[in-house]
Amino acid sequence: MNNEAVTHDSFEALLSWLGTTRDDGAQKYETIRARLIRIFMNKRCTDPEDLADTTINRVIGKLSTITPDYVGDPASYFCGVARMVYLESGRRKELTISREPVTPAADLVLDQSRKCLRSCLAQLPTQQQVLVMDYYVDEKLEKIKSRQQLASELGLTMNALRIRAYRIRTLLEQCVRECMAA
Amino acid sequence: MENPGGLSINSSEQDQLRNYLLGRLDDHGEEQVEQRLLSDDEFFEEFELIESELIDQFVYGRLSDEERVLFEEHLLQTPKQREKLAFATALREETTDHLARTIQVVPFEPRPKVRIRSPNLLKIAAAVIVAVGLPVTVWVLVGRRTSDIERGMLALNQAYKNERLVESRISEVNYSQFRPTRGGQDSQIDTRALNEAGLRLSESARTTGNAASYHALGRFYLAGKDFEKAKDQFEQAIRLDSQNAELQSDYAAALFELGKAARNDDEAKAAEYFNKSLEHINRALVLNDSLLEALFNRGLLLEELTRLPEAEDTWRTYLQIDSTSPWTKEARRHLSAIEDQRKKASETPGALP
Repeated sequence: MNNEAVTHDSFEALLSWLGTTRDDGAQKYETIRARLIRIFMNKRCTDPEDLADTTINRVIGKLSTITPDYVGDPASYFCGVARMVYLESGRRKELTISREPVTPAADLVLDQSRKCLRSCLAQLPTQQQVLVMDYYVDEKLEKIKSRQQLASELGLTMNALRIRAYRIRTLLEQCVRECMAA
Repeated sequence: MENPGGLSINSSEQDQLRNYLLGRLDDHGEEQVEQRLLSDDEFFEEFELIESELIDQFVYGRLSDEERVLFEEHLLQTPKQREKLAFATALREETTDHLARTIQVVPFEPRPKVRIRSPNLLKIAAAVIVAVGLPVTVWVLVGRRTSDIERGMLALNQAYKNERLVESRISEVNYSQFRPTRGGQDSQIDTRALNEAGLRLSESARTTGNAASYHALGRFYLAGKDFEKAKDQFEQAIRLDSQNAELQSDYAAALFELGKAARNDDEAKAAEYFNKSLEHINRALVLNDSLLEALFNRGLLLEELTRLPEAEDTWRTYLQIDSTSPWTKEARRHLSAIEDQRKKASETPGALP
């Protein structure tokens, strides 16, 4: 692993490169870090956070050489470095689909998830609750409203409905995560 | 093209993201996607949206076999990914339950013209009115649904009174001797009763469409070794009622039998069935920890998986609860077989216990 030391100054330099203001740069940094983690996760790396930090540290280490002439979105530069970090790491996780049987404890987790989900749903405005219940129900069940019907009723295109449902879902996932952790 | 404020990602980009998530892109393709993910907020949101749709398709069993394998390889590897899957599963169950609560389970469908014209049914109806004093229309419209299942199950038990085709225990199906081969001149299956069972239970499922009727029809198929059809019926029933221990146990039995059938040709498929079977047996036992069918079938499954110490424990637990029914002979036979294996293993030098 590349453990180039990151100083306060060098980190500030990174933020300056990423954004016109410090806050802007900090937000961009967080976004890039989160997305690098997702990319490494998708590559089945066992330690995506570590690889993301390695990538960022390496970019920081090269700032003095790249910033004078660099043109374009700084985020794109991270991509190339990330690919190199991934290749060097050789940490692709071996495929191990777990064949461990689900124990009753896993069912208890599901029960707890459902309890949290109900509680989180109850915190949503009624219209959003109804949208989630109608949108995510199994489309193979009879007597359900089709998504097209739902979209028409709400005056939305199918894709707009899809996005709206997804954004509410994201809120619910976050709420359930916090509830489960509590 | 798209709503203001919505995403403007076209369908080929969506396909590209789906393929990226499933690991189908080559290096160049991956690089293109990753470049964009890092810098394009809309593209990244679409990426997360498509990931959630893939997870839902997995949960609802809508991925192709190939995609399912890719999904398991790429999207079920980390705790965060499994957390997303758990959320999607909870969401599916919650929306299904919500639907079941808002739909009448037994629809009040007046069909008096058809029923009143049937003299046999009038006689039966009259007999019931005399016997129990219930209003005729209520019994004809509502009670008939229940009696279809009851009669169907009676016929099913009659059909398999002298022999059964599957080793697993099926709820509400009585004991008979296990004979795995079907048909033949010496078959002791009552085919008339079997046909009646099929007709009644199919009709009930078709007209009622509730969990009990799908469950009953599933039992019919399971008893007759139509494991895929049994699985379908149980899945429909579970969508409407996931808290029924016997239903979970019967579903597990269907999966177990499918696993045994797949074992010679496709070990991976068999493992998947067995894994899911154990999940549902355990779910049944969480709902009812002394459900004999689930315990019996758990013993069978664990033996099949050569998890002999656990199988032995299960058979012992079974026999503690049931020491008198005809099933105990089979349970004792299984337990003895495991004990014999254990003794032989301990006598063989270097062998594992």
